[in-house]
Amino acid sequence: MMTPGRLFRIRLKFRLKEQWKAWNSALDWTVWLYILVPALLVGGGFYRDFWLEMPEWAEKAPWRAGLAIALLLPMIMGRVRVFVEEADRLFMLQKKEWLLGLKRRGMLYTACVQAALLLIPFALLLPFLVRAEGMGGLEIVQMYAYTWLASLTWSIVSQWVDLPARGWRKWLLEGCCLAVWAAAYLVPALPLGFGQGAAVTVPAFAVMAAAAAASAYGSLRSGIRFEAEVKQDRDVRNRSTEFLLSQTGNVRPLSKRKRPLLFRRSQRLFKGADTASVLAEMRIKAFVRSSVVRIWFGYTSVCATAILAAPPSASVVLIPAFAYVGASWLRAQWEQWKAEEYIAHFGWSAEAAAQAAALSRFWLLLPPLLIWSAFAGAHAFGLWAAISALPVCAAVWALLNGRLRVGGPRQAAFKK
Amino acid sequence: MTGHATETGPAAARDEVLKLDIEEAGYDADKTIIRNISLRVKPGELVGLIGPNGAGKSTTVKTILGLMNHVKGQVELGGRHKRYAYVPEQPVYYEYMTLWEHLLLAASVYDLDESDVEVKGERLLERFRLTEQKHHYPTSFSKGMQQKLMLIAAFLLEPDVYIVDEPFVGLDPRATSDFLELLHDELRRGAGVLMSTHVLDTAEKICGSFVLLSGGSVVAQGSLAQVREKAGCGADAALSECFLALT
Repeated sequence: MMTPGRLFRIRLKFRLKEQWKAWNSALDWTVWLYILVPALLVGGGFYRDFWLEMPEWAEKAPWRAGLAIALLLPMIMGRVRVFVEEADRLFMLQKKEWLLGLKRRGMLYTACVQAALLLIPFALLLPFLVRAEGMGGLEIVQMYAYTWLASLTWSIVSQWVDLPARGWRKWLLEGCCLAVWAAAYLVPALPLGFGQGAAVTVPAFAVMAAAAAASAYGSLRSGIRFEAEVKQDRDVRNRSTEFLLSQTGNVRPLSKRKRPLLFRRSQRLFKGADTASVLAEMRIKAFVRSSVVRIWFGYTSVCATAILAAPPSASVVLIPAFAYVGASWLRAQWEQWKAEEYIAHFGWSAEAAAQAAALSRFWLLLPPLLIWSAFAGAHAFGLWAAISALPVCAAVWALLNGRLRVGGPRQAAFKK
Repeated sequence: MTGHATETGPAAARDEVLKLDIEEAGYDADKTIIRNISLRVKPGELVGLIGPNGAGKSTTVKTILGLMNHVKGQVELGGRHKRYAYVPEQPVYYEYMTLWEHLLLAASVYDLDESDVEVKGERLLERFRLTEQKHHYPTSFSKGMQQKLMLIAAFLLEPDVYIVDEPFVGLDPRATSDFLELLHDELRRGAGVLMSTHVLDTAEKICGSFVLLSGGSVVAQGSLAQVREKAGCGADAALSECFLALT
């Protein structure tokens, strides 16, 4: 027969397998061959070099403060896994001890996972903490243990406490709680903290450990807010899987919004009501509302940085090259989108589909091109060149796409 | 009472398997969805919870299950074990468990005797023609088959009261007939049933009494004759006519 412990182990095994599959999909052999193995080799070499000889620039950087501050965001996002699932409503709502048994084990699992994950940044920055900051072994262990305690405390508190307020008052209360917690973590963790000895270390640990224990006890004692905790657990579980699979195009994370952030009233983008315009419009909206737009922002930013880092004359080659790579990626995204069930359901003519692909590519590539051109102009000739580069870029891009015809009718234009 | 609402109380002493007295309930205190809902389910009684979309039927069911954050009122379960079985409108299941493992889990949670479960489970699988799928994952099932799994798991528990949400969705006529037959067996055993449904012609035939909700409150309650009277409909009016008149 089943027990809460056995059920927890079954769920954990299944979820770990699921994660493993997602990682395998994202990290296929090409990624290992071309990205990860070279990165590990180069990174490993640098890591060894930092142990042997710390560069001068690194000696002056505030590694300890940087680590504590950089860890804040992932710590804030951390949540306790409760391993309670939607289907538990069938049998377990009347058997709270089963739900609590799962939650208790989930808390323990979360504590172990957070302890393991926090080892990574500490291990990566170890040469800097030791050689640049001059931290001793005990001090590093103290900082690591305190970070783990603080992380666990926030994960439990943020999941458990249902603040007695709504709307802006709730935001304000949450902000205050977050500020208190962040101060309680940062003050001892920053350079003025554990280095000062037992006067800081002992009370800090005592307070944080008491907070962790009290929040864990309170959370378990208050039972389970079934719907809220199931949703939260599902969101946490899906967060990394969805991210990994969205990179491979295997899955589209479902939107949790009632209305989209952009084009909230289903506004039309183009004047034309022809098939190509409507399809292109749908494509553009789908793109800017989806999570892949973040990759697009990332690509645009990386390329802009590369333009600034390279000699000004290199922009002549770099911008077309970046545009070509971007257009290829957009093409692949288009094909994937066109094959989606609802879109594929309609019999689009090849001509209309090709026109729509070109039209959506034109508008989606235009903003990055304008940004890159402005950066290139500013890099080469200063701020005024950045501004004057904008219309030149737009005109060239429109000419290349056949969208700038003197005296001719426009196929589709942005609606005013 | 605010928080988890389901309690086991003296309802059994008053010969009721479910007693619900809700002053108000909702996700938040300032966003109540249902108000002033009282209903009783006696052993062997089938009560139909009906109403248009958004009337508050699902919130009422969730309140009984203890899923609403804000509840002012009382939910009492009666009967021998003070146990309910819930059949959701949308099938929910574990993607990593076979059909049979679902039944074993239900039995484990309620501490049922394994050999009894074996016999009863097999019988239910046969009844719903799912014997061949006994060791299959429900993910491979059709919606109707998944719904049958929900029904089998509920019948296996032999609860004091069934909370059934739109049970006919996805079931073929044969499965519907099997379900109704089993439900009648359970009513004869002494179980009570609260059934939320939109299938009014079937509800009219099988329910002994009705609770008609609209806008989060009860607009009519009682036998079909009482509902007709409240709706101002004739003595031979169908439940659907009363529904249209009252909502």
